[in-house]
Amino acid sequence: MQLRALLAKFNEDKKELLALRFAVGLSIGEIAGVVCKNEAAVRKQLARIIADLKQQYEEQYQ
Amino acid sequence: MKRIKPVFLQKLSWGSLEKSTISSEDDRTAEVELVQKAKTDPTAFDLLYHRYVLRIYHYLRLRSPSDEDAADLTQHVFVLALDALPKYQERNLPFAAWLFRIARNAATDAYRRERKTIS
Repeated sequence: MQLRALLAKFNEDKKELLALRFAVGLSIGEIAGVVCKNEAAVRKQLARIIADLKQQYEEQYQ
Repeated sequence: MKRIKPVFLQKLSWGSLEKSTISSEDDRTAEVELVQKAKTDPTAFDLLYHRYVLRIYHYLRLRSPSDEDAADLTQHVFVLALDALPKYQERNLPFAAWLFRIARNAATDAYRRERKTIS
């Protein structure tokens, strides 16, 4: 529930990447194909989103 | 009011979703063959439909205002995919990426049109 509240603040592009990776279970390569970006860019963007999420979670709930 | 689950959601469970995930090179080769077959064989397309329908629905649900809208759009995506499949070539894009790209574009089109209608 706490995570859901944090996710709600993310923009649509970020939520979409998280959904394709974790709700749908696509590989990084497949996601790159879906969003028309290269694999390195998708990997970097996802890593940044997860780091942001972790930081915000720690700030708010720990 | 009680919501009625779309038929494909009544038939499928997260268990069948997990089984549908491609995890090995053998699975990938088998899917490439299945996709090739589905270009001319409706039974093969039906297998692909059942493999992906729940995942497409969950993706579209995130972009749709209601369960019903997501279910309608899911059906639309598979109609578009069936139509476009003869032109699909594996070497350009894995099948899952191709299918989710169709879903992504369909959601963008549907909800852009809706926003215009509202405004």
